Amino acid sequence: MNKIIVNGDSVTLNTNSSLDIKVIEKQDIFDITKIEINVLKSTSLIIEYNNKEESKLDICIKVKENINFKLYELRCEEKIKVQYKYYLDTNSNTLVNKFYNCNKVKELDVIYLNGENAEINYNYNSISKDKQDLDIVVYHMCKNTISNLNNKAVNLLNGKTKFNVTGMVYNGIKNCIVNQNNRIINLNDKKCTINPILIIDENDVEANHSALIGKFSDSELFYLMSRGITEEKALNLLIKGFLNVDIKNKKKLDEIINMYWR
Amino acid sequence: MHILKIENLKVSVENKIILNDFNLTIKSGETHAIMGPNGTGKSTLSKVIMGDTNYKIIEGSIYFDDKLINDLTVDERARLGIFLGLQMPPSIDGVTNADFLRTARSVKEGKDFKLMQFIKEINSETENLNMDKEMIHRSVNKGFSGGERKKNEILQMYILKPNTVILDEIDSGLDVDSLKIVGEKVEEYKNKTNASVLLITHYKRLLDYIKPDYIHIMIDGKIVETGTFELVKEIEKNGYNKFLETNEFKVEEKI
Repeated sequence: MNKIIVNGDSVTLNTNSSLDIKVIEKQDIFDITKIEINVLKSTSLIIEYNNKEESKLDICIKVKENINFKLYELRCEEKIKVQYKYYLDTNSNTLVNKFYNCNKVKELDVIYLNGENAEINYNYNSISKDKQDLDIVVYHMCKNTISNLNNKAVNLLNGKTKFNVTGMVYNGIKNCIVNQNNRIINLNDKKCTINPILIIDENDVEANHSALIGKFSDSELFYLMSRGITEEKALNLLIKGFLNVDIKNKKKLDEIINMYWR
Repeated sequence: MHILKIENLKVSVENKIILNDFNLTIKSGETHAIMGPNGTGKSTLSKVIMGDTNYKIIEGSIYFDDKLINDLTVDERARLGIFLGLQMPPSIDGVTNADFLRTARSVKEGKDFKLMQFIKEINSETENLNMDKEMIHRSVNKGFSGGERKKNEILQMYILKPNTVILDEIDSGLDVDSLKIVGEKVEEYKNKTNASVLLITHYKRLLDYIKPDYIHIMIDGKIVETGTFELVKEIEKNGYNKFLETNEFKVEEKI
């Protein structure tokens, strides 16, 4: 599997010919490293981050026609500022699975579904211990495009999470499916915000959005406990299930989750 | 020998009395079936026995082996050996059946928990219940049909080996073949373990497979008649009108 390792200032590429990657290291006044990824053949990519200090990244991913692309990311850093731009061509399909265990996160993801039948399935899972702001905007630029966004966070310690998630469909862009599901489990009393926004200027669209901030449902807890599982263990099971996402490193994911909920 | 004894139970939810002066004793090896019209408190009874905190016990007592369990938590009651098979079990995204059952079984057995034995039993019981083995690795009840959910409840019963089994409308949503499998598996479990079984049902068809020792008719939160299987035949023929007319307590009574 293709892998990019971001380690402070250096970016190591361990990729094959399915990807064309260009790295521009901290050349502007904002101290931002830019990574441009062109996906030429159907493939998967893991981006691994080993940053000790604050990282600022601008990542641009272009998925060509008829390509299936899968991106997996695990981030365990103190402070990150990152911007992603995705450009999806006709008949391309992209899966993004992310798991964050960071303190401060400021992230903007802009997704352009530029070709007919382009589809993105985006899953953001996070343990939030400080301020985390995630902004996602999906532009449905062509008919028959699909976006499925699932954003989840568990708030603990000083965790404050904000999701601004916007789906946009212009007039004349017919037969799109625009789904977003946002959920924050709040294990502290800090403020959380979800803005699930749909801006749709077309009647022929299927759109769903949901936003839920709170605890786990009583019926789920009752069910697990009715099998003899203690409340603490039942909550652990629910949190592990909630945060579970395939990032191609199950061992590391389990290690992180077990640090908080053994 | 285990005994579940309910005495003069009065229960409310959201200031509305659901159970009133409810009495029932169930001993190991006995099968009791509770029947009654919709909204009469049958499912409430099952959840109150299990300790659902949405229901408030105003009066009365629930004893398990002479120990008062009114104040025990849901998990404590389950660890005594009480099992509730739900009418509509929830789906839990991300928690696999395997993790769920392994956790429940390891809590029950503690240091005696043996993973290989657990896996062996899971494989054997899924086969006996004619379940797809892949369902074990899927999220609890997620995407399961009504029938699959009910079979999953019976699988849990076999894995957790309770001594007191309460099944709330376990027959709803089952096709003819699945009903036969579930019914026969419950009867087999009872005969093998001498567990007590409390069935809540609307239909005679489940009782063709699980033979009850007692039939109770429940109207407006209490038992108004107890009999044998003959009572089921009478209800099949005439409905509940006879019992509704004679019952004085009104379920709409407010606190």
